[in-house]
Amino acid sequence: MIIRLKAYARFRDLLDREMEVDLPEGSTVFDLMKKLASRSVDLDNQIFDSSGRVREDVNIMVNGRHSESLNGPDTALAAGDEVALFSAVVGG
Amino acid sequence: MDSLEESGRYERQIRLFGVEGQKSLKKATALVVGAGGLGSSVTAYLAVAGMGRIIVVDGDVVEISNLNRQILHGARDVGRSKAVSAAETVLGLNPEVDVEAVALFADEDNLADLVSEADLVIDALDNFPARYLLNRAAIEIGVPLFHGAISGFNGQATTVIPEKTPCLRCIFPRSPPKETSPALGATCGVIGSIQASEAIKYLAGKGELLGGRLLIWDGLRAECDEIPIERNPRCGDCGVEEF
Repeated sequence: MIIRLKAYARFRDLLDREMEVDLPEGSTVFDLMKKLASRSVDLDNQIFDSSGRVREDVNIMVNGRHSESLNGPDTALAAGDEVALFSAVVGG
Repeated sequence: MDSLEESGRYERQIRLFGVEGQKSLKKATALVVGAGGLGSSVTAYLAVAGMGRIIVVDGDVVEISNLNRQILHGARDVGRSKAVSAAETVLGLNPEVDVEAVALFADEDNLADLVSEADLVIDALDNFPARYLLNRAAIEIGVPLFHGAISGFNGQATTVIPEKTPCLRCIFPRSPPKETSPALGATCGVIGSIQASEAIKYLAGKGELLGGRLLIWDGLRAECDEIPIERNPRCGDCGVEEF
């Protein structure tokens, strides 16, 4: 199945702004992140922490909803889903 | 001729939203929480635009390292209350503004009372725990919240209209890690100006607000993106569904 991925903020340094990712049926947000992380060590470091969890400063939106308010990394993806990947800023 | 027209101070913007729009600003109270980089930019533009009343909240004092971006404060203000310094600068910019300095850090004990005095709230904070408190207070009291945040050349902004748009917790259900962000005055200017522009549009009834969209500013690329955001029906702050 094809997922549409949009990268923002620091992920724009490592990914195209908009791309299509082919994933097996039944894949989750975590599977998508693993696939992206396999592209480079830099991406792996930007997405996962040393314990293999998605970093707390990484925000993943699935069709406009934050994955943490869905089912976290286990959120199931479906063909045509639009996933946004970005890091929040906090300063004022 | 209306007194707001007579002075000529607002002549160039009355062309945008009329005397009625200007009166809407004059009648309104803005609560600006944080008098740092974003707070400086937002407060300055709200003041010169003719906001009737501005309440500036900040419990911090001015440090020399603030002065690269916090344009409400000058070298002579180092060691002084940011809220007081901000209020003095506002009066210098526009003595018609009724400005109040609240030299306190925003917390659970004071935010509800402060927000209940305001027609709109500006999030110019530097951490998410305090932002969540402000978000909740704005939703409970039913006033719009204009969010901004920065780090280095990057920034983000969105507008929260209670019961209509996603709130800050819908967008960020968990707090990003606390950090001491690198900060550039010009980035604070970009994002703070967007927040001020949103607030003025809201009061004047003009344009399309940044609700349901998170604006992402990438200063190094000089590019602006937006991420469409949906409300979370089970949001802990604004959700309408039972858990």
